[in-house]
Amino acid sequence: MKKHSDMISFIVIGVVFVLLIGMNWGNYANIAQTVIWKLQGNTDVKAKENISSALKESFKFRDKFIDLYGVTKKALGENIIGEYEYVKDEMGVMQHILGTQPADQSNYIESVKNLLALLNERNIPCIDVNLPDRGQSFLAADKLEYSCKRNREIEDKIISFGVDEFNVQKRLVDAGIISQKDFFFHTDIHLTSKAEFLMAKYLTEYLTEKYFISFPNSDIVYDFNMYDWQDHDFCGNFCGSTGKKYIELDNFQTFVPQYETNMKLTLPDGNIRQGDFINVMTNQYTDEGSYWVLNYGQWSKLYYTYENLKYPNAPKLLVVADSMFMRANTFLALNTSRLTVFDPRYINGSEDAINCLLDDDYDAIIICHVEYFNNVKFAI
Amino acid sequence: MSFSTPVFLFLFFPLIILGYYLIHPKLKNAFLLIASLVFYAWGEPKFIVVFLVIILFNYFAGLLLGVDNFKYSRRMVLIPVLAGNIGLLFYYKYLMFSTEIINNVFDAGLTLKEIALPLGISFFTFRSISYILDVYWGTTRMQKNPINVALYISFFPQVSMGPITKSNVFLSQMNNRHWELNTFTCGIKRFIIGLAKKLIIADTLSAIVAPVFLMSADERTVVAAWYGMIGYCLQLYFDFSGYTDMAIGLSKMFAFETPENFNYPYIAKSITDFWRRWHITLGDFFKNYVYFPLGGSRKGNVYVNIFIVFFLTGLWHGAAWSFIVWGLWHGLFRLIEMAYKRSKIELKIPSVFKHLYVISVVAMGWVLFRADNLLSGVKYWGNLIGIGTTSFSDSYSLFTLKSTMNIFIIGIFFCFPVAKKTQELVRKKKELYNFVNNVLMTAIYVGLLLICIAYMQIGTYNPFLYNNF
Repeated sequence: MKKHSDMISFIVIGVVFVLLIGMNWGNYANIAQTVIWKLQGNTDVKAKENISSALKESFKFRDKFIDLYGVTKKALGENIIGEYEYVKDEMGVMQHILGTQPADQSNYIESVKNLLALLNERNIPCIDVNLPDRGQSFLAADKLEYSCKRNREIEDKIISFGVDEFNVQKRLVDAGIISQKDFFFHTDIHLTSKAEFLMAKYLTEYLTEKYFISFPNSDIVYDFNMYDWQDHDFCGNFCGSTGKKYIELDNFQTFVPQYETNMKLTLPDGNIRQGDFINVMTNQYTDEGSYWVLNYGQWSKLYYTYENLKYPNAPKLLVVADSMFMRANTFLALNTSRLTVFDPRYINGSEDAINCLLDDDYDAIIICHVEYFNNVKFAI
Repeated sequence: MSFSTPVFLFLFFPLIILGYYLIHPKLKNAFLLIASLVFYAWGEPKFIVVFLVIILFNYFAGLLLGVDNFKYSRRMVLIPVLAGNIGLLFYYKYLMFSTEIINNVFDAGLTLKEIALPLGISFFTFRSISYILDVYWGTTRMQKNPINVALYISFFPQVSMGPITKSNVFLSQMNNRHWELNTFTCGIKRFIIGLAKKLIIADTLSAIVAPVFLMSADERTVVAAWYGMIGYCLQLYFDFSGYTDMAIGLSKMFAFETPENFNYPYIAKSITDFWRRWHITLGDFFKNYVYFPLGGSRKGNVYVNIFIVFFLTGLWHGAAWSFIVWGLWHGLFRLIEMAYKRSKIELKIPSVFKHLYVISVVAMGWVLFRADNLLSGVKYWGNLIGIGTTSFSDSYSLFTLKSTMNIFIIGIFFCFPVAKKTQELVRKKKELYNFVNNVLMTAIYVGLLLICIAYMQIGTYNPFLYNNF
């Protein structure tokens, strides 16, 4: 009888294992190819990395296994993911933990100082969009570093030497225009579409109130009902580490203006797109599993410019931001004549990048600082 | 290459197991040797030459020591061979530490470049020594076939972290082992258990233990100090015993029987008992190759002999004062126990206090073992009773503790032989046992395997703790 039970275990476990290998047969072909290249003396091939990647990142049904990981973690009541890389806070919101040591922010601070000096010479206002603290209800926030906390520290510094502050927490969240819960996704580091829409709206109002910059199309652009909002189940960038079952899925709202638009996009390589909102300002994602955040803007480009051909005399803005402000940029662009987006993360050695972009006719420079800018120098 | 990586599980392991069972029986050992060298070279390509030199050195030394009518004193061979093995270990592991001591004491100003530590050097040196001494004492036959010696030293399931199988145990199976379904299945199950221990328990605890030990004494709260210490006790046990389970499981799949390394050490009632349950093969090595040759409890001063053994145990784990003091810390309690035993005083101490005593000594020892240096370890001890810390608790400590409470409970639960006892109990009810074993247990193993694969897909590489030694 013991022999039978051993046989059953042997067959069942063996079949499962063989199935897992069989499902990944394509990956083994890649591994074999890597080994052949290596044996042929191709020194460019990183054999270990390729092999590891074929069996990890390219593992068949990896997303299902990550879901299983999330289910197990949830069943065990664990709120810490990986090596304290992510945590689920008391509100069920994921936090990306960056360690315990404060970051060196000197490059960024110096760049903002240089930029401010340039802008003062040219009499262009500089406004920092100060995002709310994602970890506001996170008990362990005191001892841990995460993006919003680092942003807050750096923003306090740059405000102290003269950058104006548009405090989103105070103006939107504390004022009850949007709740903290509706501002952030649970499963993604970015902001909800509604949050970015409202940020653009209230920032525009602020620029008008304080700097008398007049925008021609605010009534239409910032009317929520002038868009076709579509809901999509969304599992954001934290899901890559926790799966879809660990936390409550989000709802991502895509939007298309229901009014006439005529836009132009110019990319650094000289490519130009012209047409309506969908053709110019979105990347036309349709797959339900898309990472919807990147449907807007031009991710991984150092800079790009939107021109609103309908309003050639509207204000001009330069926005220093990463993907955290991409949807806000689209709303701002619909209400300006020109909007240049500059993402310092993609600077490649050119420390004067922003100096080259600056010209005298910007009405304002908007900065939405993120932690990832800390190490870059972008203005001299 | 770590056993808990996809590369091992889905590439190396299937290729080797398939090759091993397809190849002609006479070539199996050679095949395993090549596999072992590839395994070693994957992780440490630059040390493969050193590794091969050690193997050849010990092979030829064994030949010399095993010659029947050797015209010189065999001791003349033994001493340089032992010195060679220990010297190499000293060079890689202790030279930097010794230089530091010399500089501190004599202000010598000696400088030395950083010396990288070859993977598993402490383990394969001890296996080499075991072979040499066993041949010298005649408890193992000299091996004419170099493959046998090479495979004993380099056998991939055991090369990096043991168990330190005695040469006669391993070599006797070299040409005398057969595939059995029961053994093979047992090996698979054992491997899965080890994988689960490592990935689900040890690595999860690692994430919360590491920050506690990184904190300075004044920022570590009392609560953090306690969960850090208990967490490390569990992490180390599940990490190392998990590796051992995998090593034993893999060995079984190649039809090798390997000695156990752990026997529920945290249920020990004395430090003497603890060392019979923790890293058993290391304890046996020191007992057979150091303690007994020193005279054991019969010749010489037994207290000095024990002191030497524990000093060496600490030193073997690492070239740092904290490891030495950790070894002596255990040695101190071992000596006290021996003195108590010899005094013939019999106190009736309830078992619960005996357990508490062992757990306290062991856990405090692990703090020294884990701390960056001796001073940090002592400060950590202070934190446990609120000395040198500014607060009893904070939100971070409470959050971390709450987030991992269930893993602590599971870890503590599996430190006791509950599963083993339950299976024994169920086995008595024969029909029920068959059902449970066939269906439920197989399902549990498959489930655990799938969960482990899921953990592998996420986890950043987390090396086994004893890889460092």
